[in-house]
Amino acid sequence: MFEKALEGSRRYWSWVIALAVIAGIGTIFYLKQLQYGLGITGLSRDVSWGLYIGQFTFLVGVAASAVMVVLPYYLHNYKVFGRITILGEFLAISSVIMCLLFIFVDMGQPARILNVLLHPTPRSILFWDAVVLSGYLLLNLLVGWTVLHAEKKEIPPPKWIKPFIYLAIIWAPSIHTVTAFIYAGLGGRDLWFTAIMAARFLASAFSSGPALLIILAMIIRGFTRFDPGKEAIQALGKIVTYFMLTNVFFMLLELFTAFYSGVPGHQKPFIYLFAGLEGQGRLVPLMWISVILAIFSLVLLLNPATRRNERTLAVASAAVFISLWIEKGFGLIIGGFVPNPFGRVFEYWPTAPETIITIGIWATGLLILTILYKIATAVKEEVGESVHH
Amino acid sequence: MAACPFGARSFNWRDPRPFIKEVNQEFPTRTKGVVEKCNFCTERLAKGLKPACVEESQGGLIFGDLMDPNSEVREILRKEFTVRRKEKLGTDPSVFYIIGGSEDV
Repeated sequence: MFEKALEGSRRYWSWVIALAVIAGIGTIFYLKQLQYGLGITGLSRDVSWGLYIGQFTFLVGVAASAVMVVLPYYLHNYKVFGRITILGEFLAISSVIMCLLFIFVDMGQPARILNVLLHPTPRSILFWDAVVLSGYLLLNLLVGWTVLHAEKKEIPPPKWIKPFIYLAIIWAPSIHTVTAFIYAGLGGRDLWFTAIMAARFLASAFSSGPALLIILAMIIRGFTRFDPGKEAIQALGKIVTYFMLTNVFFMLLELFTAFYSGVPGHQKPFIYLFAGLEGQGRLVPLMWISVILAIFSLVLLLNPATRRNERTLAVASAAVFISLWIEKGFGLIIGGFVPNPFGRVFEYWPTAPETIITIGIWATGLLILTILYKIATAVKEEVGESVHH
Repeated sequence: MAACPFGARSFNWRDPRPFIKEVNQEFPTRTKGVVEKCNFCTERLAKGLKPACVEESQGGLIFGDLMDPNSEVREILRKEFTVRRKEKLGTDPSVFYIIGGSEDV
């Protein structure tokens, strides 16, 4: 099936080459980081995780969200999603690869990465995260490819694949739960030390991921002859609505506990994020953009008329995605480090090389996604799951 | 790095060696990209010496074996009022601060 990725229009090839060039520039800057050390980033003794780990955390959620299309189709026989399960699975593959790349570039000694598996430390959540992420990657590769291959041959998928599909459904929440445990188990970081962290992660995963799928489905419909289906997009819209509401609710629970109790350790990271602390507040504008986008998206999603209108649904989905990208990919991680264990405020801001490396990894992920979606849509066009418009 | 509630660990964000004016042959230097923390001068302890900071402090810092009930540190802990940082997190820190210690040591 891979040959489908090698034939495409001029527009397809320009896009692929553009992404490859951006990924290449990112790689050059990574080589600089490799030579100089992580001092090339804005990270410091006080804020030791930043943009890289934030992207990793956010993208684990995007990856986990594939289950939101796979589960209704396979467990509830919700036929409408049958056309787009492959889009969810392939999005999961590219997201997990991005996650692994973001962990890789955050390592001080990348040559030692295999030690995670060669010398496993079951006490370490990072070890378990490596296990569940690579397992999830393999499951989605196996399931996505096998089912698509059967579709190409216009035969039903082989029976042996079923257990793997069910396993992937159970596996999906585990990747974001274990990722939440990286934070929720650290007693010294008040912002993260909360039992609701895994639930918050799943709520944001199941809103940001399907929101991205809505946008991707619309793009695919615009650029190929494969139509993911109006009804599927509407069903995704409802999923985004419920989980975005849950997400905001969970966030309000955190704010209640912090501010009603008045415990300074719990209040201060929130004050730093939303108002600034000791005159320092580089994240304040970003955090308020996130809040405004969240409210704006909910207004559009809760109103049936604007949710049913595909144009406003697309705007709402973009708002959800950007809002949660700021909240998970930026605020949550950096906020956990401010103030530092001595109660002092030291800020973090990504440097130019760090930002370029980050954009490079996003380009790599998009390139993988483009190639996978090209194969999927070509197969779907071939077997006639298309509409002519 | 993120897990330490005491801010006691540090990371070599770049190669630290160019910043060392005079290399102490008895103490290992480390490379970039690794985490370091105080290990109470384990190389000196192996030779029966006190950690360098304890020696320099001339009595301001006291170092000893908490496991030995007859050690000097145990004796001081029995006599003096001491506190530990963030005890309620359960990491059982072994650094004690004596409250009301005299000014002249």
